[in-house]
Amino acid sequence: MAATSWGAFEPFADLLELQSALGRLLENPTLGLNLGPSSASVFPPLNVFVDREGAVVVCAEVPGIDPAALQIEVEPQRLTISGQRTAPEGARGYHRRERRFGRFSRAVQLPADLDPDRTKAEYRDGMLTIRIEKAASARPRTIAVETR
Amino acid sequence: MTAQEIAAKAKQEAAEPDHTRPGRAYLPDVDICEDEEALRLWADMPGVPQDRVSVELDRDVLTIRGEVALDRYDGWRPVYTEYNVGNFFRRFTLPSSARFDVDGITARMSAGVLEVKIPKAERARHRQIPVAAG
Repeated sequence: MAATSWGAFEPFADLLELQSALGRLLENPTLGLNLGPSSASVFPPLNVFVDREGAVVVCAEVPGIDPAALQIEVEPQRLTISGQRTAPEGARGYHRRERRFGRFSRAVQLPADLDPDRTKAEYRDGMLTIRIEKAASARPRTIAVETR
Repeated sequence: MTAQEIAAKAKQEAAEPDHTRPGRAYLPDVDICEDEEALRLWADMPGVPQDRVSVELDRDVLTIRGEVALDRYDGWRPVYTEYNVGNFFRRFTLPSSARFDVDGITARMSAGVLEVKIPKAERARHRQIPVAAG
C-alpha cells in the first residue's frame, strides 16, 4: 500500500461523484491493495477506503444482523468478519423471497503497516464499518531541519 | 446441522429511474409474506437511517425509497471496491387493495431493514364459521 500514491485529496461532495469513483474501481480492481482471495461472490462484499488520517476503513453492508452475532478479529495483516443472519420468526406464506440468511465468514489480508490494537468497529443502519489505524512506526514523521 | 452459507450477489439497478433524486438507484432485496392478519414486506436497505426512508401508497401502488447517508464518506478515498453505493427504490402493485386496511399500514426501520405491515381489512379475513346443530 505504501507504493501507491493517492494524488490530490478529493472529498466526495455528492452521490454521483461517489458512485463514479466506486464504479471506476469496480471496473479496474486496484493492484495496490491485495485483500487476498476476493470476489463479489463472497459475502459480505467489502469496500475499502483510506480516510484523512491514513487509516484503512473497511465497509460492509450486512443489514438486519444482531450485533451480538457479529465477530470481528484483527491480526497483523488479517481481518476476519463472521456472523449470522437469521430470518424473522414465524413468517410463512412467502410470495417473494430474495433476502438471504445464514452464516458468513470472510477473511481479508491487510497492509503490513496497520496496527490491530488501534481498531474500531461500528454497526449502524445495517452497515459495518471497521477502521484500523496505521502503526505508529508507519506514520509519517515530520523531520526538523537543522541549520548550521 | 449443516451451516448454511450466504453467497453475495451484485446489486440490481432500478430499471425505472427515481426522478426525485440524482444518481443510480438500486432495488432493495425484498421478502413478502402473507398470513391471515396481514401482508408483510421486509426490504434490505443498508446505510439508510430511519429518517431517510419513505413508504408511500397510492391506490394500489406501494413505493419504498431509502436514501443512504453519505456524510460518512466525506474525505475518504476508495482503494478497493466490490459493491457500489446508492439510494434504494422499489415499487409494488398490491393485489386488489380492497382486501387491505390501508389506513392501518405500519412501517418500521431498524439496522437497515424496512418492515412494512399491511393489515387485512376485517371483512377480508379468513373466518371460521361455527356450524350450529339442528
